[in-house]
Amino acid sequence: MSRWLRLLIFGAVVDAGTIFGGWWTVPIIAAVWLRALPRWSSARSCMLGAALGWAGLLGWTAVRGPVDLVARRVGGVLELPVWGLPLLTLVFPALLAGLAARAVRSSPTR
Amino acid sequence: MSRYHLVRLLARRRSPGQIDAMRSRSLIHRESLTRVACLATLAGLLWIGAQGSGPLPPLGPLIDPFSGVWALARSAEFPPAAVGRIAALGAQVRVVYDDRHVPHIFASSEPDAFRALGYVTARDRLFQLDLQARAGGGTLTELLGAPALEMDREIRGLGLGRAAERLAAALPDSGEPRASFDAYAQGVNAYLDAMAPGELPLEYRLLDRLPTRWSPQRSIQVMLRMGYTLTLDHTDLDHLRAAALVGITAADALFPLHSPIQEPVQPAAGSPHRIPMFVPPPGLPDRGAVTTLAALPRSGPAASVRRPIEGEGVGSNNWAVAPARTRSGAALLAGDPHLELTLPSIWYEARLHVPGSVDVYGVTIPGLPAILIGFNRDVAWTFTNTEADLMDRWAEEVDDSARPRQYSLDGAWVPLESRVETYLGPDGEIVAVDTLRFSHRGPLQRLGGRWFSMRWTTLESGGGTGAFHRAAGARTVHDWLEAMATYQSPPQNMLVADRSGTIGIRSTGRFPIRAGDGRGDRVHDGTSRASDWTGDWRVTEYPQAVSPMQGFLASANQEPQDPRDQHRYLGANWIPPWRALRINALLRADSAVTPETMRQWQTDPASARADCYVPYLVRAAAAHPADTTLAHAGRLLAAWDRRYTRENEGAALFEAALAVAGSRLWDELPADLRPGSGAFVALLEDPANAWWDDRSTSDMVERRDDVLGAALVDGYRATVRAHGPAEFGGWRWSKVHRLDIWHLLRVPALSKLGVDVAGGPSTLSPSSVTGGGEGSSWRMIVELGRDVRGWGTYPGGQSGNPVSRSYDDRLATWKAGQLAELRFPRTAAEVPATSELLLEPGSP
Repeated sequence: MSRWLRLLIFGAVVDAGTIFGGWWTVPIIAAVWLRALPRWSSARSCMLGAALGWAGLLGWTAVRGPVDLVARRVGGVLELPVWGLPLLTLVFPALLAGLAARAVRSSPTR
Repeated sequence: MSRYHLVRLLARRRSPGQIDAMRSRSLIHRESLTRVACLATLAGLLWIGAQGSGPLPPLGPLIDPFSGVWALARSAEFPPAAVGRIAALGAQVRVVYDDRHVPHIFASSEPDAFRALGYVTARDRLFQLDLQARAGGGTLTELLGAPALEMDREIRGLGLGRAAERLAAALPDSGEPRASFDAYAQGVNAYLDAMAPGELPLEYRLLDRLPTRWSPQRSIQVMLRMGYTLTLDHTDLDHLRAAALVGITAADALFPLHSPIQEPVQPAAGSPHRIPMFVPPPGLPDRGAVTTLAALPRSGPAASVRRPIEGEGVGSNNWAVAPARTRSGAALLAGDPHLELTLPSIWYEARLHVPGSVDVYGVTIPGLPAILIGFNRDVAWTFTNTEADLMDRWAEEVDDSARPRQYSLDGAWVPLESRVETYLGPDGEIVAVDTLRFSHRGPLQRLGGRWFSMRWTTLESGGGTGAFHRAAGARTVHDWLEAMATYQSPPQNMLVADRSGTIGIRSTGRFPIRAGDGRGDRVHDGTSRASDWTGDWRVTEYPQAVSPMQGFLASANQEPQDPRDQHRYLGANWIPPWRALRINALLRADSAVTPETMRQWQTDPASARADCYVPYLVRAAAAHPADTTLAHAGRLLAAWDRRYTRENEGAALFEAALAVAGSRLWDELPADLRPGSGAFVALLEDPANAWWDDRSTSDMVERRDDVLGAALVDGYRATVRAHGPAEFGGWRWSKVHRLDIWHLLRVPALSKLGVDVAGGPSTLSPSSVTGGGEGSSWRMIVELGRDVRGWGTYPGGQSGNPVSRSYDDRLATWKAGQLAELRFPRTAAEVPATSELLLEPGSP
C-alpha cells in the first residue's frame, strides 16, 4: 500500500472520528493507528494524515459555504490574520495526532 | 585526573556488550523523557482544546471543521427547501423567504403564524433573542459573567426584573396576550430542539455557552427593555440638582415645561411660533433642594443612560401626506425610528398571512410576537417616541438610612417590601447578591445619602402585544386607532394612513396624572399619599389629529401639543423641534409629494438647528472685526450652506463652536447637567443676560457676542488642531463624522466601524458629531394606492450569522439613502422565493 494511500485512509478515519465523536478523537485514533500498524505508520505520518483529514473536511465545507468569511470574521474575533484560523485548524489536529503517536510509539530495542 | 578522564578510562576497559547495554539504557532513558514530554504537551493541548485558555474559548469544538465555527459557513444561507416541526402547530405553515431574505409566513391561524414567527426569528437571530431578553431581565451575568454585573444591577435596581416576573405571572391562563406569547415561545423552542450542532450561533461558541429556552416572560423582558430605552427619565433629578445650585426659578427656566419653539405633533394654528421665554439669572441655591439632595454627588445618578438631548444622534421621524398633496392621489406615509444601530439590527422584517384574518408586512423586534411597524392591504403605520415623562421620584423618609425596613407614610411607618436579587454566573455560581426595597410606589434607590422611591409606567404596562394584533387587521385609520387605544408603554406618536386617503396621528400610551400642581419634573414628598399619581389620561385627551386641513401630519419627538391646546402636564425639557421644523417646511413647500421625494427627505442634510444658531455666531464674529482669527472663522461659517453632506466642510467648524459655546454658557452647571436647547435659544434673544457672563473672568462681564465670538475662535482652533487647516480638505464631514455599528457583543471584527454617512445632529437622518452608534434604524415609505406598495431598509441584514451574506447586505443601500421595494404579493407563489421552509405539526 502506498504511503499516500495510507495517509488518505488515516485522514478518512480521523474525519469519521471527528464527525461522529468530536475533535478529541484525533489523538486516540492516531495512538491506536500507530500501535495497530507500527510498520505502516509513524508520528510524522500521523501528523500529516490528521492535517490532511481536517483539510478534507474544510474543503468539503468550502464547497457548501463561505469559509473565507469564517476565516476573516472569526479569525478577526480571535485577532488572527485571515490565514490564521485555517492554519490553526490544520496545525491543531496535526499536533494532537503527532504527540499522541509519538507518546505511544514502541520503545527502541537493541 | 579529572572525572571525565576517569570515566573514559573505565569505559575503555568495558566489553562491547557492556557498552551496548549502556547505550540502550541511555536511549530508553531519553525515550522515556521524550514520551513524558509528548504526553505533557498533549495533555496541555487537550486542556486548551477542551477548556480554553484565558480569553480563548475551548479550541477543539471551536475549530472542529465539522461542527465548529466552520460549520457556520454551511448554514450561512438557507437551503432551497427545508422542513421543520412544531409540536403545537395546528396545521402546516409555509414560509417563503424572498430575495431579501424576508420570511413570508402563510399560516391558517394566527397562533400558528406566531409559532412560525418564533421559529424563523430563532433560526436567524437566536443569540440576539437571548441577549435582549437577558438585558431586559437583568440576567446578562449568566451569559457574560461578572463584566455584565453593573448592567444587570441597573436593570434590576430599576425594578425591571421584578416587573417581568409580575407581569408574566399576571398573564391570563388563556386568551390574549397569553396565547400569542405561548405560541411564539413554542416556535422558538421547537427551533432550539431541532437545531443541528453546526447551527449554534457563533457568539455561543465564543462564549462557550448554550441558548436558553424561551418563555412568555422573556418576551415581556424584551418589551421592558424597549421601555427602558425609550422612557428612562431623570428630568426630576436634574431639576432638583439645578435648583440646589442656581435656585428653583432658574431651574424651572433651564428645564422648561414647554418647548420655546412650537411645532407640535398635533397641528396648531400659527405654528411654527415661539413662546416668549425669560431665563432668570442664576440665583441662590434653593434650600429645600439642597436638603433633599443631602449628599447627592455632583454628577448625576445615571449619566450613562440619560435621555437624548440636543446634539445627540437619536430621535425618530414620521410623516404622512393626504391624497390632495400627493402626485398619485394616494396617501403616503414615511417613518424612520432612530435607535442604537447594532449588528444584527434591532429590527427583523417579516410578513404574516392568515387568510380571512391578517395579511401584514413590516418589522418586529426579535422576541415579540407582533409586527410593530408596517402595513397591511389597507393601512400603514409607524411610530416615533412621545418623550413623555413617565417616571417620578419621591424623597422617602425611612427608619434606617443604611438598611431601611419601613418608610413614613401619612404619619405612620409602613413596611417596605424587600426582595433579594441574586446574580448568577455562567456556571451557576453566585456573582453578587443585592437586597432591593419597594414602597407602594415602586423600587427604592439610594442616591447620595437619601432614599428615593420611583414610579414608572414601564414597570406596570409591559403585558402584551394584543393591540398590535388587532391593529394588524384594521381596514381604516379609525379601526386602527381604536385597536391601538389599549396600548400602554412605551408611548408613541402613532402615525397611520389608509387607502381611503385618511391620515391620522395620536400620541398613544399610558400618561399618568399627578397630584398637586400636576407636574412630574420635580421630586415629590414621599411622606404623604397626597403626592401619589391620581389616574391616567383618557384616550380622548391624548394629542391627536385626523385628516387635518393642512393635508399632512408629522412628528419628530417634539412636544406633542401646543400648550395653548393642552394644560395638563405631559413632560418637560422636550427635545427641540429642529427635525419637525425641517420636515414641516418640506411638506408645506411640496403639494405633489411622491415616494421618491419622501425617500430623499429621509436623508435630507439640511439643519434647522444650524439655521437657528449660525446667524448669531456670524454676527458675533462681525462684532469683533479686529480679531483676525474670529473674522476668518466667521467668514468660513457664513459661507457654509448649513448642510451635512459627506463632502461638506463647514459642519465641523459649526459643531465645534457650538460645543464650546454650550460649555462657556453653562459654566455655572456641571457638565452632565446641561439644559437642552430651549434655554439656549431663549438666551440668544437676551444678549445681556447674566448667564452669558463667564465666571472665570472676575474683572469683566461678558455678553452674548463675547461668548459666541470666543466659542467660534476656540472651535476654529480645535478644528484646525484636530483636522488641519480648512483648505487642506481635512474638514470634510465624511472624515470628521463616522458611524459605528457595533455587534451586540461589541466585537470589532463582527462590527461595521467608521461608516461615513451624511447627516449630523438634528438633521432628518441624525447622528452625533463624532458619529456614535445611533441613527435611522428602519426607513419605510408606503403608498396607499389601489394596491399598497412599500419600500424600506435598515442598516444590517436579516441574518444574525456573521458569515451569511444577509448579515450586513443592506448596509450599502441604507448608507446611500436608497430603499428596496418590499415584496407584498397576495399569494405564496408570487413571492420571489430563494428558500422555503415547511413547518409541520409534530415533534422535532
